[in-house]
Amino acid sequence: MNGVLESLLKFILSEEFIRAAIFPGITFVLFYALFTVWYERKLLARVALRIGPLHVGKVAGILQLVADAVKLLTKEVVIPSKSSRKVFFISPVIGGFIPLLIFPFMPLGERWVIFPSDVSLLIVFAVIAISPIPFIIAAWASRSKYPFIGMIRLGFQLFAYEVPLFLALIPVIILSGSLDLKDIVYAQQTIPFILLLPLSFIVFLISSIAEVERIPFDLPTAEQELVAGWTTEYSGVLLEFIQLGVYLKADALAILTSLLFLGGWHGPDIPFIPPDIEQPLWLLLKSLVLLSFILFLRGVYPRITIDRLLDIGWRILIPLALLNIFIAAFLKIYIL
Amino acid sequence: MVLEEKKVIHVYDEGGPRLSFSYGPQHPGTGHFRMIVTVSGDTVVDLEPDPGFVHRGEEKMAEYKTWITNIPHFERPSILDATHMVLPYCLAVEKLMEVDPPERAKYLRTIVAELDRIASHLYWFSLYGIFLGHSTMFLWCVNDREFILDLSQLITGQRFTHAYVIPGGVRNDAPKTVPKDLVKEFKIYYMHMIGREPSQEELNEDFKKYVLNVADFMDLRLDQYYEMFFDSEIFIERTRGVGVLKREDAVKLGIPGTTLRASGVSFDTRVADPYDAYPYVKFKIAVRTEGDCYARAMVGFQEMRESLNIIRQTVEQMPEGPVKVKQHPVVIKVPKGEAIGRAEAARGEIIFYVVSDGADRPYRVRMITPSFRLLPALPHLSIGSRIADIPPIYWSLNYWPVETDR
Repeated sequence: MNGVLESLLKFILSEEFIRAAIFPGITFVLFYALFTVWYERKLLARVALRIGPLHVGKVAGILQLVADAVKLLTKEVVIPSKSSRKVFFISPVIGGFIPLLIFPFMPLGERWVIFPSDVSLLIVFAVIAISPIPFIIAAWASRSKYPFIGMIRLGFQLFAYEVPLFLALIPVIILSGSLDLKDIVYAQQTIPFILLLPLSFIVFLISSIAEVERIPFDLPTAEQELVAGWTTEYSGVLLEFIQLGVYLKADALAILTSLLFLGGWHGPDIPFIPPDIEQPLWLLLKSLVLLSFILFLRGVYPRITIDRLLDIGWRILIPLALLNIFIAAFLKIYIL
Repeated sequence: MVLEEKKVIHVYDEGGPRLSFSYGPQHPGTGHFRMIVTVSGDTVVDLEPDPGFVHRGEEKMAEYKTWITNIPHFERPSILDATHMVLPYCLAVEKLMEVDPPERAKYLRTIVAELDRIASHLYWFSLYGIFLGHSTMFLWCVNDREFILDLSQLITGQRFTHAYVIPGGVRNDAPKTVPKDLVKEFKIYYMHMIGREPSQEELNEDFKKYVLNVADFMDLRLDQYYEMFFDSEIFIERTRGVGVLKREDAVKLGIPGTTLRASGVSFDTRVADPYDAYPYVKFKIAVRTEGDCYARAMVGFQEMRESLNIIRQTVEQMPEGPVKVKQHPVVIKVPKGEAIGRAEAARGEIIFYVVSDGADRPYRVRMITPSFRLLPALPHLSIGSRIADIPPIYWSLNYWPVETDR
């Protein structure tokens, strides 16, 4: 009996378990997603001259999101009679969890990575590339008119913007000479890539905003045009999964941008704090700055139209991203 | 009504299958109103408006209520713009009774009417913003509207639906002083928004000074609106060149109000057929020639500035004296005859045709609301545009479904 308890305790206290379950793992990720929603609501409230969540929880309505999540869980899931029931039910669940697969490969510090890999960048972007597919299937399974229009927009938008997103990565890979996110961060020890590749950074940021469907690029769910776009028929817990997936992707892309362009966890030394705590702190701070920028756009801009969106994607961002590859190659060969 | 023939547009999949869907009444972008939209790809090939979801028979109801008890009822179709809904009715009844309201009542009517116009336009812009996905615009406009409504409440006793105008004057006089709490609250808000103390000498409980301060405040806020919303690149991109209503078409379709003025026709009932205190004040008619969604928004925007000017002038010029003629408060007799009252409501010209047979209630009342006259413009502008252009077109007309249905 003692042996069992001992080994169980050993397992729980082992670094692998803590990594997977607590810090860069599932607990942190879910709390970070909740925090993002709360932060968004507070920030937007400030822009719109409001206070935002206030009463639930002792400090600044911090528990409002828990209350909202519980409320959604208690709601009835309405399944349209014409829909294909199984697909309608399963695809948002899959879509909600696929973005979770990004986090094991994403280092938050020298020690804080759940599954170290030589090709972590490739894996992360493979996951990002497949993440919209369950949502498209979910919209298709609704068999309803507004989700149908929303789905077409989703397809157009995501496939148009994934190309510049991935093309903007190539300069980073050329300069760092590695597909490992850790090596990419190490390569930025002296100069973060945003200074070497400012255009690439802009292309990447705009594409990621479009990728996570934030205003001004929230066309697939455009509320006043398409009711709720491709999520129109979803309610209750299924809607919660969809929201989880979208917010996880937004968080992941904010952290990735700071890893790829803003120097990752490198920052000025803070005295008396061990580097293991300091590194994630700097990284999360940088991603929070990016996130604030992305969220501010929602307070400042209206939505743009689909033809303009595709125009920007295909005619401006892709040529810019291609140009950057040559700039990066030039930098690599002649300067660095 | 003469409806012009449906516009014919050419699409790449001529004769192919069409997706047609119901846009409303359970839609975040319509209100109590439905359009049946048929699309080819992203192009709208047919749009059929379907009003009538909130019809309540105001005209028939009016035949069973007395001349005075009708007033709160006529406000219902457009509670945002309540004074303007009652004003032409009262003007028509006054013509039948051959009474002239006292001077002070005329000025008070004008102030409340213009306050209603501003409140209505602010609400229009708040929804304009939300229809384009701009939640900040919604909340800014609604926040500032609060002080306009407070002012209405101060004068009339109600924030909206104040039933303030009656045949032969107004219901009550404006107060001499403003409650201390309201002034304090306004001061804090002014500091917060503009970043400095109110400029009008000393802001105190005096009614006149308070009104002038609120008007100045709104003027400064409108500057901020322009920078934040109307000068915003994406707002211009979404609205400029979208839903262009040409001058001839606007006249042919019989379009009233802001939409007509945005198409280059300088017509305003306040100038064409002046009533109340409008002959005594100076103001410009806001006109644009482009006729697109942006021009329509800017006409409303400029109209708010003109309304503030009118309020400033009326408050300065307002004489002392009684505010209504002496008559029974509820039961009035109106001589036999028929009359028409016209006024420029926030959405356009509103007309009341009143027939009396000498009894204590109307024989027949006909309301011609601006929203109903705006309806033909909707399919005319939407056909041939994209799905994403329906919200700006629909809302730039300043169409109000309840007003249409009456």
